[in-house]
Amino acid sequence: MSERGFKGGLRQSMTWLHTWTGLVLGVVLYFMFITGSFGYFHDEIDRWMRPELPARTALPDTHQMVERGVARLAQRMPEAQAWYVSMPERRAVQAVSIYGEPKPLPKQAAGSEPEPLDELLDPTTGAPFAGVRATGGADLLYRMHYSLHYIPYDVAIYIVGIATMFMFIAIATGIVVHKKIFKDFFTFRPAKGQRSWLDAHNLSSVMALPFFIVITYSGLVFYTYEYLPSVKWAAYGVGEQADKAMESEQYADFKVAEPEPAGRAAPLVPITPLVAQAEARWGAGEVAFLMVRNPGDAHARVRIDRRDPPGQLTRRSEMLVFDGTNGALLHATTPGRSSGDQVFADVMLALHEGLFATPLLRWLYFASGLLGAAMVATGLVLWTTKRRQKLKADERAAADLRFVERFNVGIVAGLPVAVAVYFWANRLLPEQWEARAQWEMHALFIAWALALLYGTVRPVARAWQEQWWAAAALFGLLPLLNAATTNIHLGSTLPAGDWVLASVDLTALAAGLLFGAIAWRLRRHTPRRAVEADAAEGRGALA
Amino acid sequence: MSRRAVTVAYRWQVASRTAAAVLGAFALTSAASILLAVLLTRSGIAARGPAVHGATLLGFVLWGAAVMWAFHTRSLARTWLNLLVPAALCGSLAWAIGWGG
Repeated sequence: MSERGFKGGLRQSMTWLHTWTGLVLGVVLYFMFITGSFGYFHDEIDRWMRPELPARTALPDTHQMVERGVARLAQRMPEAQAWYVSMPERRAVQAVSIYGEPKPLPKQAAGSEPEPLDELLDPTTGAPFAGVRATGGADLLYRMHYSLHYIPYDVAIYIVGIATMFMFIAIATGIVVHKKIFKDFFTFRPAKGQRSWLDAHNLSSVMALPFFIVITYSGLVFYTYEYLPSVKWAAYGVGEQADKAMESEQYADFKVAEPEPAGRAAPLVPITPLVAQAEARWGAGEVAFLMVRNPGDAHARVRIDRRDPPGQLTRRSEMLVFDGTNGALLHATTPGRSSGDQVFADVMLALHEGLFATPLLRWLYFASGLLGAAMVATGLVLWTTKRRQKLKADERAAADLRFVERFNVGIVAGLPVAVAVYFWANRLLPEQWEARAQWEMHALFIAWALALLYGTVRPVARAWQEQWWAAAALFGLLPLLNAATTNIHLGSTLPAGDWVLASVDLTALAAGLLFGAIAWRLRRHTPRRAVEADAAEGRGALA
Repeated sequence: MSRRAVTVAYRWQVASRTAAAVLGAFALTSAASILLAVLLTRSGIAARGPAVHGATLLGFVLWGAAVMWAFHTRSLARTWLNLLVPAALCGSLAWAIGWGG
């Protein structure tokens, strides 16, 4: 940008915007791509991180599992705003997941918010699994891509929202900047410094471009009214009452199931006949989820949701709502009756989550997510290489360039190290320790902080190489650690054909090989004297 | 650009343009989306709830385009004018038409 605005054409101004949004928000975006990608193997990782869970068996009938979940909730949280019971997922962990939402505190009441009840139950006994280690599992890992960690949720979603909006800008400006998308797609000039990094950045960006566009836009759709509340405010006003008015116009179906409590006690109707009605409509095993709103109140409601059909881009497609005091059917959604805007938003959210995906597509999702990380990482490195190559022979790099160079090491190579440490912590922390789930995550962030620090004290080229070796070792040795600490290692899972568990070990092994290959390549391209000169000058020689 | 060219004035230019891109583009996006929602509702194409939802979903795309426009416009004064004048027009038009009912 010149003193009087942009003198150059569209490409110049868009290059400027692309470069700076990418640099400033690159860290958040890299973190989002890496942690978010694990969401596509949520079930597999969750199972791996709870090695004490029993092997897969035949499941009891749906109504039995629902009854057990409701019974457990009634016993543990009789006074609740809502109870939720989810049937075991099709893949991985065979557990009935229950969630009790406490009644909200009256306004201006003192005291902290009551804790929700969140448990995994054994489908055959209805009791929590005995002796299963506490872990944040895949949940905590992938949820960080939108709620971060150590930061209040309400703040985190706005940080993530701003990063996502600028990701959107970075994609659009990147396309404008990039004239020859098709030709450049087949261009890679290795070991040519800045050119190679530009080619790598272009390649990773263009290869999964449709994925990046959809994943970014749909990410915004999750928090539509948080990020762009003005139309809502203009139509309905500001505040809780206004929000309720809008929801009643937009989500009438869901509102049937969520009336205000009457304040009069009334016993809850037996659940089994309601589940039987749902199964009579949809078929056995089709119930995915049950909610009891205002249990024990005269305005109790029971909502039952059908499983989304596999391979179809729908969400929450069918549900039944019953009166919770007499079992009368109050409402049944008819599929295909949603308004166009709702269908569009649902398709976007379904595309983002990828829950519909078959195994092959799931791998493509995972690979595209990691390509996103590679896109951000190569962009960050390109920023430094470009500036370093412009330096004259005797010119010392400016402080900002040296800072970004060092910071990049700890960010780009440090985060994979930190994620590997999360899995190591899952196996190594004492199994009965109460705070172990929290410390798994602390371990991740401590490792990341150390990696950032490490990048500032070592010569840059050395720091890159050593951190990739660390990532290679931590991922590559994970299957061995698993074999040493559990009995769900490759030696038992491969002969049993348990691909859910084996795939986690095998993917860790592949990641170890990949990081090892990167470290090996850097070794070849940083001759000893360059490294020494680098150390003497305190500058990087990654290019 | 060499480092000597990065003056204080230049930094203010960037800051002001960034403010224009963030606040000005948000104002323009909001006003245009509100107008669209009002038009959809009053013309009977959609009920108010779906119209508000649909216009907001389109708003993210408008916002992206507005930010790019803000960074492409030559002078800073024009940048602000380009965003705020259409925003004011859309806003007052939406207000004049109203949601009805």
